[in-house]
Amino acid sequence: MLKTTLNSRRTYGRLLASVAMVAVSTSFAVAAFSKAHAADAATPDWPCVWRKTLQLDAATIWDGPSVEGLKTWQGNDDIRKLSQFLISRRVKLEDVEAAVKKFAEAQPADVRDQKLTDLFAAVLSRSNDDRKLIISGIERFHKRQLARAKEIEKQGIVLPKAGEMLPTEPISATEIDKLSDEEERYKWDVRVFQERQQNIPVACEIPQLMDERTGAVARAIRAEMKS
Amino acid sequence: MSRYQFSFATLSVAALMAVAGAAPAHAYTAYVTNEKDNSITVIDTEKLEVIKTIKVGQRPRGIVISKDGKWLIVCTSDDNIIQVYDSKTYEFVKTLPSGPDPELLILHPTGNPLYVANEDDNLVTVVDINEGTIISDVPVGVEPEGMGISPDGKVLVNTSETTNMAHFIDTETLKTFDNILVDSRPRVAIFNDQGTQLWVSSEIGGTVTVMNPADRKIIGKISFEIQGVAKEAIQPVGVRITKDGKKAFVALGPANRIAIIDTATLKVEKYILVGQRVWQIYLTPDDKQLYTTNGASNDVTVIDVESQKAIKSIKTGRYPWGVVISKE
Repeated sequence: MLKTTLNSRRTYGRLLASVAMVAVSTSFAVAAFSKAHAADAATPDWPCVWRKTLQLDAATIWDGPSVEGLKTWQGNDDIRKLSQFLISRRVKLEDVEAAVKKFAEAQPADVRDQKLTDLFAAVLSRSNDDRKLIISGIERFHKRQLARAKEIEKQGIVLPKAGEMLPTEPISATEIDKLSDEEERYKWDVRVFQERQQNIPVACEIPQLMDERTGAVARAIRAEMKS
Repeated sequence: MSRYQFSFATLSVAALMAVAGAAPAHAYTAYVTNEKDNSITVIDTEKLEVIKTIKVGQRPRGIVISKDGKWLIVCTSDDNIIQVYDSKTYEFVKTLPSGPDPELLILHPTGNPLYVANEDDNLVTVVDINEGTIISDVPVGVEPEGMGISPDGKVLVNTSETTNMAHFIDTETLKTFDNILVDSRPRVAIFNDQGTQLWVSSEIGGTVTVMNPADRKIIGKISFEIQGVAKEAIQPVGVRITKDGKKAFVALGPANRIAIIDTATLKVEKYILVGQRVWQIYLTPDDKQLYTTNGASNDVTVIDVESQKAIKSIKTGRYPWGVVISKE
């Protein structure tokens, strides 16, 4: 539909003007993108404002017994299932608290705190596994955007500059068609680039939301412990 | 008075005293700005419950309460203006001028004027809150941020994030008379009530510098260490000191801890685990509770100062940033 509209209705002058405008605005956008991207040399594939951290450390959300190297939960079906339930962002926080409470009450008093510590170890481990996947996904997405930005920059160089917009001689219909195709491809690439770019801040929020969730679950577990 | 009546009266007084003793704290009101939700969460400090959410301008951050307790004065940073709300009815009262991107602000101890740090134009704006006019602009370093004022109101201290300095300003002449270099990205500056110490937190440097305001000499520098927490996650921002000047509290950002410090020895006594990415903090007027804004977990943590324990997490809006508590 876009192609039909462009081919049938636009005059050559308007067409060139719009190409030039897109070229100018995109070159700014792409340049800004490259600059922002280059700002953090330590993590070149990381597009988020937040510092890239591969995992959430236990000590930042937990002041209970150490969970370093703790893997006993892997052999406990109840804890494995419950930890999966607790980190799901679809589960409401009050349901998390209720589930943790129910689990705590079902434990014999002498091992209650140990089991709750195991539960936290399971939650943290699962959450960090998910976190790694999300982070590598954001990086892959960002790499594709970088490639797209380079391609757009190349196309922008081929297209006419603002001062060369107006034709001095009448041009043939074939030439108009050829130019519209170039413009169309260019516009589509820019559009895809910009739309995907808008998704980056949303994607960058995901590790934050996961950390928030893990922190809330940690507090719910810790609240049930006696020590 | 009969014997019966007397004992009844005695009992009543005793009962009243018992009830008073059991009460957790005086009922104050805490106001928390939510940077992302464009709102203020109002909390009853006795019930530890949210009683109201007020819609305000865009990106509310720094907040203070007027000396008479009637006005909430809020930096709505993305509107490039200061907004005033009635602290009881929550109605919008008026706007006050500022420079672009106002972030933190402080009132003169007499209640007027207001000093505002504008992050985008390297100026501190001095505003008459009654007249709603700008009295003056004071040039400071790049990205002004923290604002502290001496108890006698004679010295204003502003920190600049990029210049890494604490700028000392004479409030009479509005001229800078000293600049002291501190560690990277200074955030908050605060005097103790005795006027004998000035504390400046450095977010990237990971330290707090304590100075003597009289000669601007550094008394000491506090570093933080938390087992299992990466050094770069320790980012000191908010600082508060008890009225007697004996204890200080420092919010440590993504380390999710509040450090409690003995102000005589400058040693950390305890780290308290709170919500995630803790920035600003505020003490109730009786110094019994400390409120922390936790930007990444969207809550405030209430700390019982005496037992040095986190007693409650209260949900706020998204990205809670600033906090102030009513005087009564």
